[in-house]
Amino acid sequence: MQIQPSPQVHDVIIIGSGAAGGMAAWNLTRQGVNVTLLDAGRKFSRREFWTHVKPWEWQQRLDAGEKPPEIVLDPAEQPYITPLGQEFQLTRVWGRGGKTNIWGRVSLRYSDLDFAGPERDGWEIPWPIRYKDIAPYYDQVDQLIGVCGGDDDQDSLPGSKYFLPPPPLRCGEHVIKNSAAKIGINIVPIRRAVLTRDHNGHPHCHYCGACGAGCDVGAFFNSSDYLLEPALKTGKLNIIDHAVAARILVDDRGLASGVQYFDRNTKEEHRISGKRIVVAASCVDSTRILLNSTSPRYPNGIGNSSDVIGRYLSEQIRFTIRAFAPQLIGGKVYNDDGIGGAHMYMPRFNHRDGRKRDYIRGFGCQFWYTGAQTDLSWAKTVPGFGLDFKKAVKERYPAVLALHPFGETIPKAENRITVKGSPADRYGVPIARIAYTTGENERRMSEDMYNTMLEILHAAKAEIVPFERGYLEPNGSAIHEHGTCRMGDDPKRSALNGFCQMHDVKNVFVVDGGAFTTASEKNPTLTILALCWRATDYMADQMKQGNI
Amino acid sequence: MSTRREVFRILASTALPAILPAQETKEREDQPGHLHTGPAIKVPVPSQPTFFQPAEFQVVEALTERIIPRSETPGAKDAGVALLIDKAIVAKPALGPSFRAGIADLNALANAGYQKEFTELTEQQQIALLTPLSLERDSALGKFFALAKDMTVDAYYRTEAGLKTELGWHGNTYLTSFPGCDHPEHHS
Repeated sequence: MQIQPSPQVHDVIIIGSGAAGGMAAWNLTRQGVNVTLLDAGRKFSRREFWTHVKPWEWQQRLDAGEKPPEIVLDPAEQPYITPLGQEFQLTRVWGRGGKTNIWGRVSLRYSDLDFAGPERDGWEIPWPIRYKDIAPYYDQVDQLIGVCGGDDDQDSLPGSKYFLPPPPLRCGEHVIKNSAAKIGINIVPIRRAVLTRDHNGHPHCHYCGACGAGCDVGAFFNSSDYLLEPALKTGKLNIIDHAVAARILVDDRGLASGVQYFDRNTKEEHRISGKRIVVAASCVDSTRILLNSTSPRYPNGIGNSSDVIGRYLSEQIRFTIRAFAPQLIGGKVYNDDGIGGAHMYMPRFNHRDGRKRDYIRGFGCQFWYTGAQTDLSWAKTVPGFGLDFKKAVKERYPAVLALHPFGETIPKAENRITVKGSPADRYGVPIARIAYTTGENERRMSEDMYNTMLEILHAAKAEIVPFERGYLEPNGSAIHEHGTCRMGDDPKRSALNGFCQMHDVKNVFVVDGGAFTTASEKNPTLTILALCWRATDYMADQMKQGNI
Repeated sequence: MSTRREVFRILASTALPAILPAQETKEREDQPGHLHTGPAIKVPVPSQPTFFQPAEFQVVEALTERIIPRSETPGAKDAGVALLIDKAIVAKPALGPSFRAGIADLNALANAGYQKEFTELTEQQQIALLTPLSLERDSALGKFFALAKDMTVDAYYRTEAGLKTELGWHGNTYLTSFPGCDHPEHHS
């Protein structure tokens, strides 16, 4: 196969265009830096999204031979492997904006409870940063992308002066909130990157609730519309579509010198030269690229003298319990779409309620699927059949409560992405092997999560849908992968410094979830944006000083 | 979750059985990571069932109508549930053999009790036959009833008849504002 060399030496090459890559491109170009971005797909057309397709119309369209836009990468195109019995559900989006096209939009600030967690309980290394380091960047991100929320502020969930108004609660959410309050559990307005007012030229949400199919008007933050388009307008950004990055190239001095990538359509190999590389391909793919970037100088992957790259993969544990609010059974059916997903959040409280726990770290709770939604899977558990069954389902439909807690998983060296010995992908590059399990700490935490959910539902006198106690959603299904290229102060135990810069290779920055030292119980995207903004400010400054 | 659940719903509604490409793998304990999803494949337009034989299809129509009967709102037959179950089995062929066996078992049970096929029974006879099955989840017929009920629920409440006409869902539309709950007693 002919290799297509490129004589140009790019100032900065960014791999990936999601939250991390988009932020890097936006922040660097606005500071006058020339950027070349490799995107593994193409720009999605919002007009093609099946946002306003009713549930029954999906089947009709499919029957007519139509297809929804292929946003989520088909694993048959780019497989990954797991050890037998260790399922890991990996969701990837190759294309402009990455997973921000369909993300959950939950935007919770990490606190020092998260950043200083390892110091408190002694499990694994501490983060090299504290809330004060990232707080100004959270403020900037909130203002840039538009995040709705309330005026609450607490040790486990810092507030913001810049929130857009939160959406009103649904009936079922009021029931949950009031019941939780009775037993001393505080539930606050959700923080979501959904526009409840027009913001920075983007229109406000029209409450159709179909965010998971992609927003046809861009009323929630996506990296393509909110970051890449403005960056393109500077004239400083060049995006190469269908460019599947494979390896980072290294020069004689041990610095990164470019990127090898393959054209997704033609499979043609390309190599481009660059002075600095920003890796932002999402945790698993970034890790795969780093581990495949072997050389005599870096035999186990670029920047991996610590042997931490690929290790400490941390996702989150989750489950859903549904119930019916007695006061809502048989009541009016509302349009409960709202901003699509929960309008409120239960912040972590297990560190301050005086009860002793037999596990470390914590959990919060979201309330997806509360109200009259389109998912009727709970109806299978309503007993019987026939007219009585039909009536029982109808009566319960407006009364659905859904509690959906998320818990932190602690980082472990053996939870690991590797490439050595893996089969090759269609480009001849080893694919990722993901070996991941949760352990005793997660099991004990999940017990507490179940107990807490049941306490809330008992306080509500709710009719609880039968559930299997202890069940956890499949690993990977939170779509929150962290930790496989973690930051830390000690170069022997971490790959990056607090600015996402490799300890070993000063001109490589890794700015996605891989950089996180711990997972926390919170959704990571807001923190990815803030960390990346901070990292690329530092990077631009280092470039000005001639250090990289 | 992203809207992880939403994503998976999209996958589920477009995914036909994944045809697993043979992966040359050195590590025998490894499994392909794409067992759970598959490519979106163009679906032919069936106006007739493609999995069920005509006689089987009539049983499925009768059975699903007993599970969700017509009342003042449409029932399973009005909503075309049997055809949707046929499509679901085409999309997930592993369900086919047990569903087919269940139909045969149901007919055998009807013959044992009434010397008639299931579809020849009166509504009341069908209900009488199904009631014990709906209470026993361990027997083969109990499992078949549970499978049929699950698939009926999945299909019916995703149709316009089930979701909109029966339940009153009126979402996925353009609103200028979201009012939320208007029960004053909830706003304590």
